Amino acid sequence: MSPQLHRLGLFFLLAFAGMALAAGYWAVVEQESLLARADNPRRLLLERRFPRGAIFDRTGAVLAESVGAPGNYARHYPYPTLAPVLGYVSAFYGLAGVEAQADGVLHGDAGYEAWQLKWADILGLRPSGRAVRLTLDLQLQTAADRALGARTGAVVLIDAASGDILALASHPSFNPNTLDENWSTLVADPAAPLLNRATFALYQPGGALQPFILAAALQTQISTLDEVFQVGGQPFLFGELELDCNTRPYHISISLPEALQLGCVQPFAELAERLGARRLEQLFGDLRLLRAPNIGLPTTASQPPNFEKEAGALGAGQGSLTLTPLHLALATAALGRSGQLPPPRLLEATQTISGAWQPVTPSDNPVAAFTPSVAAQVRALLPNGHAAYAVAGREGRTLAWFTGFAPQENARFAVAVVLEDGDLAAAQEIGQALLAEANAP
Amino acid sequence: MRERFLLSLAGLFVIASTAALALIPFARANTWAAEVAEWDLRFLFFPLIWLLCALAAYVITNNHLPGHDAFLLPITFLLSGWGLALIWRLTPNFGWRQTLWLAVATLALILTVRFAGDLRWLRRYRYTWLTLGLALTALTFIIGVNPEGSGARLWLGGLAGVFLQPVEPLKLLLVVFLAAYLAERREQIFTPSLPLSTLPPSASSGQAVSRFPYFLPLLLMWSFSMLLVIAQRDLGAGALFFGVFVVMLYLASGRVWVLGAGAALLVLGGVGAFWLFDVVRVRVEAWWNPWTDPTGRSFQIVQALIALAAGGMVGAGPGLGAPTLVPVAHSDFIFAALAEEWGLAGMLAALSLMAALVLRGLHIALNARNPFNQLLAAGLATLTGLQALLIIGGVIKVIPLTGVTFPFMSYGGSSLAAQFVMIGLLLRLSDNSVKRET
Repeated sequence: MSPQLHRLGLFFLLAFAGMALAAGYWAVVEQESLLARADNPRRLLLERRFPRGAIFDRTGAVLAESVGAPGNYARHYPYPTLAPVLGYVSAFYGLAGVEAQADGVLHGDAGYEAWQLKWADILGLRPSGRAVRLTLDLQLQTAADRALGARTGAVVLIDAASGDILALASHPSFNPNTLDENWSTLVADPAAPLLNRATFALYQPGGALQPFILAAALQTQISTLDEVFQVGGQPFLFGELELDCNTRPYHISISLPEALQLGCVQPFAELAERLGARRLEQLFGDLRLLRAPNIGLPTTASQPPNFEKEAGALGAGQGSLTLTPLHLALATAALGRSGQLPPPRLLEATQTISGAWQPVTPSDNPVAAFTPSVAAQVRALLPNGHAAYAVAGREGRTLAWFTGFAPQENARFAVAVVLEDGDLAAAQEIGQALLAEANAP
Repeated sequence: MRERFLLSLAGLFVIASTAALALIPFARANTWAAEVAEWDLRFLFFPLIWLLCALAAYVITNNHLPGHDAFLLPITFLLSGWGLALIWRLTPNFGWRQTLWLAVATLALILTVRFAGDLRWLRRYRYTWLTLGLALTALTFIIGVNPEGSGARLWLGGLAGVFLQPVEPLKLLLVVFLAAYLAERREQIFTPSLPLSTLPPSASSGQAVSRFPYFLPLLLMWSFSMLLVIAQRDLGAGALFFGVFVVMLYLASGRVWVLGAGAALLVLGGVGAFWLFDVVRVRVEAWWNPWTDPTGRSFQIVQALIALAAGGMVGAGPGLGAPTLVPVAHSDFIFAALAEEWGLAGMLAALSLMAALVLRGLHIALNARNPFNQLLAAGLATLTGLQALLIIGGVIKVIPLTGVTFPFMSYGGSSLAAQFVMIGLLLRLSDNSVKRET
């Protein structure tokens, strides 16, 4: 029996050696990719012992913090409505929003070498998380959330000069303090409360593009404010959609300022045709509508439209170009000031290892979209902002847009509001109330 | 001498890991401040019991079997002490129970060493033993329970909170039966000069004696065992029975085709089971691509692999990892808990210890005096080795997961007791100073 026993012994040796190799594969070769998985809760469990950093608004008000005793810290959000922006930290469902964007600083890893962290682990002295400060203003944010209320939609209020985002509301929201308990309901909710509508939902712009088409037409001198357009009788046909004026004009022929005010589609579709593919593309490019704004949070932009084929539809805002409320707020800031589109910013400063605040510079440069005089001409036509409808998707759902700025000259604030219920008056009211609140001395 | 030295090393290891456990609260709070935690006196209890058990086993084995193998006891007690420390760290409630089970298992080992004698009683009543094992296992169909309240009812009892899993002694009894039967009949079954024929001996002319009638009882008893565990949906025991059967047939016959046929049957049976049994399909799919359903069916395996990664080379340190994130880490997945806190170094140590134990068992078989002793020693070593490979391979995604315990380390009283009896038998088989039997 001895040859068999020897072979059996060899088999067991090889089998155990094979197991050792496989164990080494997972523990060493695949180590990093396994540990980086979102369903690895170990990194976040560490935050029960070494608290995660706080998130502040620009005035120092707490938006998120770790509370409790050492060994038992838990994340707390005193202002839960901001959840689509701040995101969440969950041992089961990973990170989102600002929590994910600034995780390195908040968790405390950023600024350390890997060996320093390993050494700290051995000593049990892992660095605690550090704080970050957002450009948001909790007072204005509260006003925006209150104004938006139970409606589905989004509000973006920015500092028109610097591009700092002052309020970023997305409704419906969710409560990040009870995320783990309610997760299955939240992900299944057709209203998509986890989605940040202000930065990550692409909406049909519709008439909200009209001020920019007008500005481009003036700047390229293909039209003047005195030119008269025939709008009576036939509506603008776009596929199966018939688009006309929001309010029926008294005359058949109207000027561009009147068309802007009454929300007539035809003149802007015609201007877009006249501008042509190249200049339309230039306009949308200058307004940065064709790429995702760079604010650290997940943002998005639509596929580039076919400028040759759908110039008229694009002018009506019903082409294949879609955009986020953040896009539109930034473009509106350019009209409110001297044609300068500011670079957006959400993260204002992060705390360094020494505890000092280090400002975050915007990742873009400002861009001159219009000449100051063109911006001033269009601005003069929008003393109360611009409200417009858009028809979204195949089902023909109506969206209500409002864009505006304040004060009238040399604006300091710009706002964009979208309501998915299509209530134009409400959108205008929300936007103007927020501008008034921001502009109050 | 050597055995005493090795056992002392094992004792030092167990005491050191207990000390580490007692320090967990302080290490976590990173302070020596007294208010952080009270010194946990429970951690004095289990190493003490372990020490007493090891000492008793050592003394009695040396008294009765002076020529026994010096490596078996140190490896057995090192692995079970390590397992005990892991279980205490994971779920102290199970720690209490497992400590008591260690005492029971040691008692069983001591009784085996003391009274096993020349093992003729095992050999002679082989049918009785196996039938008893089968009957006990069959009883679970009627009065089977599951200690956790739901799930497969593979246990008997519930008397004063004590549960018996009859499949654990059944494994041992099957090996005894196979060894006894094959030792007696292997010539008739495998004699090369005889042509293969299914005709009864009377019908054949002269030398052409059929092997099949001799093979039949063996096949019958083995099939009963297989059917029983398959009916129980106990995949681990099924795979184990099959593997042990094939290996022991090979050992007895020396025919390589036995291994080939065994492998072919395993593949066929595996494919058949994949289509027939949901539980097999679920396991195979969770093994083949766990990444598609990491929060559902593959949760355990994915979390186990993450635990391996979290352990890295040297591990987080005892008490400092988070191995409780892997479901039922104290039982089938104790290897993942070991990996996280002791790292690759710990895994290599555990694998080496298991391999050494198996090789010692085969070594004992090599030096055994008669075919029964040879087959029994090799069978017990194979059973332990295959079981370790099955569960480790399942945890680290080398093979589909089958629910068996990691020998000596996993939580589970029946399996610990059965394994200690096996070690007792191996100790007995290794002792050549006992008078030659007739």
